[in-house]
Amino acid sequence: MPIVEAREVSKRFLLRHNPSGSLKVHFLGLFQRGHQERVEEFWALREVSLRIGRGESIGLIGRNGSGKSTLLKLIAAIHQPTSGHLLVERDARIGTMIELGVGFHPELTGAENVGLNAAIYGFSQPEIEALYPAIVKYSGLEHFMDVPLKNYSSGMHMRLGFAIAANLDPDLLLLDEVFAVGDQDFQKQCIRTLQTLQSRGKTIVFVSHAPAAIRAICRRVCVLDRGRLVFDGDVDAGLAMYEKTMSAPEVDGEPAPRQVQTAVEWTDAELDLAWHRTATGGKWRESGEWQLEFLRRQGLRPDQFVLDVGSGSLSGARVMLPFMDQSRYWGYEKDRRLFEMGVKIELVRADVRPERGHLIVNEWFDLSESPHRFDFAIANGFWSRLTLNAIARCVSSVLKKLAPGGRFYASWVENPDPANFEPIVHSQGATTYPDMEPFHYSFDVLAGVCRALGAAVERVDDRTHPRGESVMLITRAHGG
Amino acid sequence: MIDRAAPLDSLATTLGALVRYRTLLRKLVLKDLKLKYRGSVLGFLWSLVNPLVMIAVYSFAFRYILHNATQGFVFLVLIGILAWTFFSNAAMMSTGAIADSGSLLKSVFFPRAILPIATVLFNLSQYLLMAAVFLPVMMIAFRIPPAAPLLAYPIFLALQVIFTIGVALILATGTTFFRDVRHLLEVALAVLFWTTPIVYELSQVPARFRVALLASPVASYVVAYKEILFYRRWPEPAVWTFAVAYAIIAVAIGTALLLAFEDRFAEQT
Repeated sequence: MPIVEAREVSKRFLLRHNPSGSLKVHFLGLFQRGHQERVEEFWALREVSLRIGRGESIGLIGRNGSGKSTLLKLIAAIHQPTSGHLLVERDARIGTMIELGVGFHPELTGAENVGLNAAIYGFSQPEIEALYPAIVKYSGLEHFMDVPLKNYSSGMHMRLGFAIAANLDPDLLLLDEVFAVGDQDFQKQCIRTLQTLQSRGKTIVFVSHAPAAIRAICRRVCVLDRGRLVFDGDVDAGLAMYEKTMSAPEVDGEPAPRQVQTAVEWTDAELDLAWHRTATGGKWRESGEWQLEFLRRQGLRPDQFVLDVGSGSLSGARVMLPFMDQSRYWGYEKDRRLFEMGVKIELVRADVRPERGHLIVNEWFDLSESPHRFDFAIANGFWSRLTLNAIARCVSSVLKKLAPGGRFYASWVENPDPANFEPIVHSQGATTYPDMEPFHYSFDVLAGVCRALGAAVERVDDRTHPRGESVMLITRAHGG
Repeated sequence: MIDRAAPLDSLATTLGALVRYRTLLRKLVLKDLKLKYRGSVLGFLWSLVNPLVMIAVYSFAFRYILHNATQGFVFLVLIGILAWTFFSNAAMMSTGAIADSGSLLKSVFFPRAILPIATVLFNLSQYLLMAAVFLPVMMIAFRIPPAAPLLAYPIFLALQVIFTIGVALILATGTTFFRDVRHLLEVALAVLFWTTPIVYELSQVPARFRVALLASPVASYVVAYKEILFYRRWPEPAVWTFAVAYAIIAVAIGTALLLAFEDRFAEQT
């Protein structure tokens, strides 16, 4: 279970011109237009979706104003999302290092400030007393603890602030650019500490502009650009992507997402490491191309109706939309995030207009939006993302939408032994699981589910799938 | 899982959070006390000078200029001044409790109500220190032996604390959105000082104004202290009624305002 899950989280700030906070402005505003408070909307985050698993270390990067700090503050409950859902594990202890030594008072001694600061983070007196020796030792300021903070150098100030935050032992640590300041030794100490926390299974979300620090700490990188999550995946590819968002021109005012996306040129190699491509099982381009070729071998013509079940980030749509006649391609996807990455990045990149077909997005396999019955349906690798019950629902929904004689092909990761409940490591390096994503299933179990729903099932003898998946054909049992 | 988008600031969660953050509350009060007295030679003694000077000034004005010879004037004024100072200082301080803590609010989450409540408790602790010094001295000087009505003293003090917390929550929230609240408060305190029987007695007020005057927000508490400590009488039902009513109304409005606007504090400051 993730420790944090963001579902289409957006955050709007109101920028007040003609600074208010004064009754005068409100009062004069009644009579004079010039005095009216002008409120401008600023969307710091736009529909950001992301999951952070326990023990993960994630780097958040992006240029200034891209929404990184806002995301941290939403997770820390400092601000509230304007829309969407942001789920945070109920009992997770959250440590925020958004500003080091916040709440420090110059007149209080080091020791008193440690106590006050720890209390601000929600610790009780006995807990603070237990942690105190470790904090002092870590800071290396043993001889200065009874000196008022106003006599500390800025370096000592920071050292103490970080010592407190590092020793409060949170489950989830949120850091915002904290050691951009500070000398090399201090930065090294910080990174070592974070690595230790990491090895103890703590979750770290880390905002930084420093590639070296990101590489030292993070296994995963999320790139934000003008409030949107534009990349989620491998560190190297993420840093490369970040370089490119930095060189993309600023667009004033309302950012036009498609423009922003095309302004950034990504290579295939970079994109292959991106989250939206790996989430559908990898071999993104090959898999999409296989899908069209396979269906054509089965007799698909451009004037027929085809349903792409679990269209993911549109690897299939990318090649099928140009091939099919106008409005003959229908895609269904349950994960809006994947779908959006597909539309915003992949289709734009391939210069394919989504309007050539129809794309349905919902979480409950509702295909009623389509008035058509389909000659062909295909679920390419989709079932790796579905539980058995979800597969049953998927099959049931698709069967209702099949034209007479319509054929539903599904490729899936096969578990050769129905009695095997262990993970399988495949020759291509991927691992699949019986009880978590990516799933594998045995043919007999899937066939049983389909038959229970009134379908006829047979294996298709096709070994050409780029991920080595098996293929089955599902039809309505009585020609229906 | 908790949804950050859901309004989580129900009364129950806020109270629960206050209990969990009681160490912070205590440390904030201690911080203010330390900051106030550290580095001054006479320290706490300065706190005693202020009411003494005020009593001297009022005694001079009332005795020798206005020729008002109320029995026990010094003690009565002292009781009033202490209670008034507690209220007015807490109210003034609370206006900045949230509005002036921007950087703290923007970087750490903690129950926001802690800040105004801490200012009230800081002023309460000042009040208690002064009361502990002055009240026994005065009771001995004026030969007032302890009596049963003294039992009502902690009750009224508790009611005044609740009332003041309510006012502090209202002012702290209000100032975050309208900085004018501070100036309004200064004017309001000047009016309240004279509509509260501090330097005069309710009995000196013409009968037809008495209830109206008792309805002044702080009046019931001051009148009660004077009744209990000086006259050794149980406060009248009207005094009880106003004291309880104001405590409940203030804390209800304060809590409602805080819960409604809490999530916007970090953006406003």
